[in-house]
Amino acid sequence: MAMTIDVERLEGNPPLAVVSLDGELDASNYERVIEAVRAAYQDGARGLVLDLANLTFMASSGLFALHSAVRIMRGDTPPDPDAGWGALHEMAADHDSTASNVRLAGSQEAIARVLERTGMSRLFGLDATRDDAIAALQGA
Amino acid sequence: MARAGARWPIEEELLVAQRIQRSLVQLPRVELDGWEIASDYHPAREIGGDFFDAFPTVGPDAAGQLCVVIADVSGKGISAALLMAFLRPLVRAAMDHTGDPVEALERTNRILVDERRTGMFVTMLCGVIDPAAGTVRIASAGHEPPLLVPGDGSAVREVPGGGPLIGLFGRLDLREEIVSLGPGDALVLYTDGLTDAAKANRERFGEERLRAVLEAHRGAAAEALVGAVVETITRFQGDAPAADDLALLVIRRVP
Repeated sequence: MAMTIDVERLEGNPPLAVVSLDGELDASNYERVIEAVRAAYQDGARGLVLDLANLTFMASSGLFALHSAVRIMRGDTPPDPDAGWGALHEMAADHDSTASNVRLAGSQEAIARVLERTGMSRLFGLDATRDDAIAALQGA
Repeated sequence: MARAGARWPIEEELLVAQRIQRSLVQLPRVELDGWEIASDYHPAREIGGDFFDAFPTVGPDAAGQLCVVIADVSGKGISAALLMAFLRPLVRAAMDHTGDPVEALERTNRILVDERRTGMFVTMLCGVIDPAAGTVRIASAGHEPPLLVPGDGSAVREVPGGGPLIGLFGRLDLREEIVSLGPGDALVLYTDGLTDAAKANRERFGEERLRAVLEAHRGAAAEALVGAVVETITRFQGDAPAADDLALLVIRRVP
């Protein structure tokens, strides 16, 4: 609603998707982020840059979207928030491992603070810019 | 009554789930001599996962103490409501068993991560009110920092501390914060649906407005403080639909 999502594919090793979020990420649109990441993974992306430079606000549902992105890029199935008990299945993922193939770029201060407070920052590589994140993933 | 063997439409099931979730989120009536506890909860259009709880602590050293819990389960829908219904008694049992808010959240996290991996997570704050000491012992797992509203006129301030949210990491390594409440002081616990409430033009209520309304009503009884905050937010939002649950709990030491 109040956010646009732009997805860019980058060839290389690994093939990347750069998903840029512009606006406000909240309960009305977080599922669109999950869908965009899922589509990128199905399209062959094995590294992900979430460019947050133009993201001005993130509600707690945004944390859910970011965590889902980590799991999708690990090859897991993220929980479907509307799937009832079916979503509460056993997971084999290691929750303490850092998802080195997902990086957050350019987080504004308020969003960085939420990521830090909730410990979610541990799940991602954090970069100042989109180009830094791409370089970190493709080793350029 | 549905016919035997007939399936309810999914909309009916969602309504039932919504009713159950809203009944579970109501704070039980609790009395604590010399203290006031008040709360309010406004659900978003869809089923959410906020909840709070309040119950007397047990154990030889815990006589007269009261535990309060406020939490926000990630996502929405039936999964969030089910996880909320699972967690509420779990954290209460952990508190009964340990008597310690840090250990109770650690234990709750361990169960969620090691035994019941759901891929979902929760911000949760657990506080133990000790009326004899005039303190609240707080452990926070990624939850919004509580706001202390001093009765003496000094500035509203955030209670620091806290660690990662529940459900993602093997250990939380939280630190307990002890907040002293003098007579007339109030402690405000809330979920982010409160500060994230938005007008139709997407302007957010935000923490500054929350602090302003608390400053303006300092000294008010807990019930009145809750009412003032909710009324201000409702007025601010106007006709815009709420995107997230709003949960607010105020603990006040009577002057």
